[in-house]
Amino acid sequence: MLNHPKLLHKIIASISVVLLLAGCQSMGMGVDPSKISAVSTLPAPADREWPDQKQDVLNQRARVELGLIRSPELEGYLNVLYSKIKKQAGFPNWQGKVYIVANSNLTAYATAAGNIYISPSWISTAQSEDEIVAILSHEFGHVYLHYHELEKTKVTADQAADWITLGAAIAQNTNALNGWPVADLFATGYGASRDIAVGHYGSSQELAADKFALNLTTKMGYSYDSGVKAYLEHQATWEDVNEARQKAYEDKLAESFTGLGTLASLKISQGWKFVTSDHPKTIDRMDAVAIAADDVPPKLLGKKPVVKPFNSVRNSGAVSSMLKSFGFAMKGLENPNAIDAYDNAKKSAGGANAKYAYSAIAVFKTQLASILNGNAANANGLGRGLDLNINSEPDRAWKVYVTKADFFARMGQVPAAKTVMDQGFSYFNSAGEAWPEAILFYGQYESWDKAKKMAATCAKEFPGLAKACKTAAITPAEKAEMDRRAQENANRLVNKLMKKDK
Amino acid sequence: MKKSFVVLSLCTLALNAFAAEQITALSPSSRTEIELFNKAGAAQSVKTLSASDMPFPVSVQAQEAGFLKVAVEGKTYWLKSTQVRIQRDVVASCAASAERAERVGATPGLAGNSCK
Repeated sequence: MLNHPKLLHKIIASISVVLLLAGCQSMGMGVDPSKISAVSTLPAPADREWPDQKQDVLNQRARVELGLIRSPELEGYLNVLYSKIKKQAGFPNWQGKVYIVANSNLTAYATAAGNIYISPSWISTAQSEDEIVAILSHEFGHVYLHYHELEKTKVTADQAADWITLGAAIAQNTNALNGWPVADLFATGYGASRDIAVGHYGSSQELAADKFALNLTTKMGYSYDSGVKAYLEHQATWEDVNEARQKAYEDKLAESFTGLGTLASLKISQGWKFVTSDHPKTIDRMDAVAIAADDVPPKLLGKKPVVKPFNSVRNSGAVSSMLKSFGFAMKGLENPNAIDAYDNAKKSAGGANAKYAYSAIAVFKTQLASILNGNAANANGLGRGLDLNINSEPDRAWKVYVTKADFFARMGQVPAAKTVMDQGFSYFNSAGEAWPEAILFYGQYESWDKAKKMAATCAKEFPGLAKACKTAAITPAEKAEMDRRAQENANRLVNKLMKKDK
Repeated sequence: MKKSFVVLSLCTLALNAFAAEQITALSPSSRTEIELFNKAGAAQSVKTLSASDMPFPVSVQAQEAGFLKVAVEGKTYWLKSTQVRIQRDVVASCAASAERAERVGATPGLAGNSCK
């Protein structure tokens, strides 16, 4: 058992050093941010072969837990803005569109296919068109400046996955997590993996994208303080909120290792901070952009933001309804066992919103929790939303198939489960992200031999997912043996370190 | 510095954009002084305060033409928005942030996935 504070800190720090060094090795290929100013001519982009953008969208529908939100009104507005950005950059015919990703976090990202994915939270948080254009310009900056790095991040995938596994393992092996939301638990591991990913990606790329956004938005006549400055300030606030929550989590985690607080000197958080200390901070980016903004013509510094068209779209019937629906679904998912979770989730399923994966999964999970908590009267229509999503081709999310197949299998209806999985995998098999879960399912409910063969195919077709696919094909017997060996190794390591410690 | 975070429910849009916003620092961090003006858009400042004399956090009372209205030392002044860092309301949560981004080629994201 890991109950020695110095020892635990030492182990965590050791792991952190390895990961950090591994991260640094692949940094340093980004664009020098000093070459981009608020008013300079942009450097020429690298030649490229574009990945298929439709496949990229399918990949996201397989990757993101709650899929995409296909809102024609909102997508239409954002894509008009994106077209203006590309035109300003001198490449109006470049491929790529903007999509809404069903993530409650404040997030936006770009892929090498030129697509930009932005969360509803950014749409709700942004205060003007200036800010939305700045966000899209930042992401387009990654496409424009860092195409090769976008591709390269695939290679680093397995390492980040290892880190998330470590975070989850630490959390699962503590007994102080009662009452801690599952989302927080997972997000802790995820947050760590994201920091590693950022380490790989490099702070220079983020800063270059900020300056790229400042350059483009300024030339487009948008305000600096309502645009780039505003999104960085929103981001900084959100990071502060999460740091406070992370600290509370770490304190709770540390308590479990300290044995009711008797070993209060343990600072598990130091291990985490050690990992993340060299990673880019939003404040640093804000400072750099603020200095760069000295070159912005004074008339644009205090320019009145463009608010009306943005609010007009955001407050329009369908978009407003979707944003509210998403909010209710997230309230339900925060704690599916909460007494009002199912009621909240049901509110997300009004009208056209019912077909969205976020609503279908929120309703299903909270309804199931309600039934399991003794409310049998809530059993009517279980899974109806999942079918609505599956039957709406543009809205289909891989996770909906997985959720439905898993439910049937757990209910002992294996043939029905296999039918659902067959249908889902037939649709999503060109998206690598679907493979690990499909492999695990077929291993559990068909044969591990089939799972092994699928894992080999996966490794060949999607090298970045080779490890995840191989792991999914591990039989229960193999896993038991691996766990036994891992425990032996851990004990050996602990004994060795404790000898040194004495 | 005491921080009071305001994260609104996803069900509630930030309708009053400046109701809870606060100035938390000068921008960039290396800035040591802040100019105070008697009206928005004024060319000439009426006072200069050092960063250490600013009673952070300072509530934003109004915004106009790139200037922010604040109360400092019992008087009302305007200062340039570009010279300060603002803590802004955020409408987000970590209820569903568990993507599997670590497997796919993509930028870490503008705000990454800050949920930790």
